[in-house]
Amino acid sequence: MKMTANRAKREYTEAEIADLEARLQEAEDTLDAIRDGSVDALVTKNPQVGQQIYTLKSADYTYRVLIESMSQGALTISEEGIILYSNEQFSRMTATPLEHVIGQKIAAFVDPDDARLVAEILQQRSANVNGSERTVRLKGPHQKEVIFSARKLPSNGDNAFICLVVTDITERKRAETAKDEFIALASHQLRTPATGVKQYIGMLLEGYAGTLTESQRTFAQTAFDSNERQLAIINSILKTAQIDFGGYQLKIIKKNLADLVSESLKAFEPIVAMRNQTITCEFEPKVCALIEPMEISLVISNLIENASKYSSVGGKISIKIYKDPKHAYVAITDNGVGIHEEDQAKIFEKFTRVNNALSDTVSGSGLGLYWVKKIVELHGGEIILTSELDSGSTFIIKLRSC
Amino acid sequence: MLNKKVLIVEDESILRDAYAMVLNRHGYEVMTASDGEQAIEQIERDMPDLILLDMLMPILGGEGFLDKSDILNKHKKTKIIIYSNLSDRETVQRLIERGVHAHILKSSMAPHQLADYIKQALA
Repeated sequence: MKMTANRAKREYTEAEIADLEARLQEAEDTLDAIRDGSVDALVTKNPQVGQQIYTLKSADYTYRVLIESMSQGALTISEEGIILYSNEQFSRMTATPLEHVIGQKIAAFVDPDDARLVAEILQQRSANVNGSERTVRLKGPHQKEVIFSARKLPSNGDNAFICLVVTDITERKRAETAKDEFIALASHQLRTPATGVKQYIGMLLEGYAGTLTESQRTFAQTAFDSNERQLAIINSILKTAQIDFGGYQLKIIKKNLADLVSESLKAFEPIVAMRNQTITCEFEPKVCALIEPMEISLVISNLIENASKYSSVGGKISIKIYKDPKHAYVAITDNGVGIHEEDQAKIFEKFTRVNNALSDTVSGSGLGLYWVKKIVELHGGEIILTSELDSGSTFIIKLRSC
Repeated sequence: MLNKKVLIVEDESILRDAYAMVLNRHGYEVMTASDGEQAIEQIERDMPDLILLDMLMPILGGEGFLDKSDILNKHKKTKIIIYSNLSDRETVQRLIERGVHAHILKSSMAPHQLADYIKQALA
């Protein structure tokens, strides 16, 4: 059976057409608003069920949850420094109700001494979209120390906004200060008694208490050497602690490597002579590196000491300094016991000592090469090891040249 | 020739006595102080050619002595050697920048090395 729609055609009045057009326009505007993200919720009125609210769970909703659950303060501020949006965390940090935060100038929450830093962030942000950071103190009895990380938000219109993330570092700073104080005190307390021992046994050996018999001298020398080992271990532990706890800031300058190595070598002349070892030097002229001399000097001394300790009496050590267009190198080679291939990576790990022909007689803390590598890496450099068991080792320090 | 004068500022009496014994034997005129305040009294009485200065001391420490006496500005000829077991990098760098002659870890020196070092510093 054929069904035929039989709906009578209806004529619309002009007023009805205008009303329909207006409703269509409203529907299109609503859709546009939803699409551009400016609608958070829709409210509908249905004669049967009454008013209903539909929340739009858009990406914006997820961001809001994320920002409110952050442990940092998150703010949007105008270029004039007025807070347009703040999360609850910043309100807690400043102990200020949220309604008193929004609309306030950011500088109002900062210690007046640091107001200049806030101004720097605002000015810099006006011209730059890259992030920038400043450490500032907040106002208030607790003097919280925070990092302001600012980033200019991309904007099409005239009004640019700055997104500011505020990280509370008060506790971290307190821990760093406690660490520095601990290391300073530990270095003093551990070294001082050993210094007394060194001083008095040293005086005994140097004849301040009269001439010693041969066996008295041997005993005193053994005690002196043992105390020296203890001091070396204390130094290594403190160095490792300083590096591991972080905050190790280097003061980099340009330094001629030949001068630095020559200075370090002076201390080894008596030790090397006593072991009847020879050191030959081949220094390319004018090799300069970007380093903190005191630190690299410790690295070089440690490697020369190892080269001497792990070579037998009469051993040969060579030190070369050379460069390529970007790097400067110090290579320290010995013809000593060498390091087995499978141990070569391990020796740079903490508290590692490997077995070799001399490990029973040579003392060490197992920390030296660990901090040596760390210090070179802090300089943006690298330690390269080549070694063959029973033939010897070469440690190359690769540094940035200047 | 008159003997050079060295002031030892050290709170540990066993170390102070030991350094005094070593430097006496090497021909120096030795003065001693057990803290920064005593050191100020000593330099007011008689200005030494060199000061071996410990850092951590009761009453007035080494840096406090430098501040209070203003010796680095007022008596530039007197050499100050920080002779301490403190090896805090920031403190050492700050003191070198202020003009002390050197920082030496006192645990690194045997008696004859100390004597040699002072001889070189005063040469």
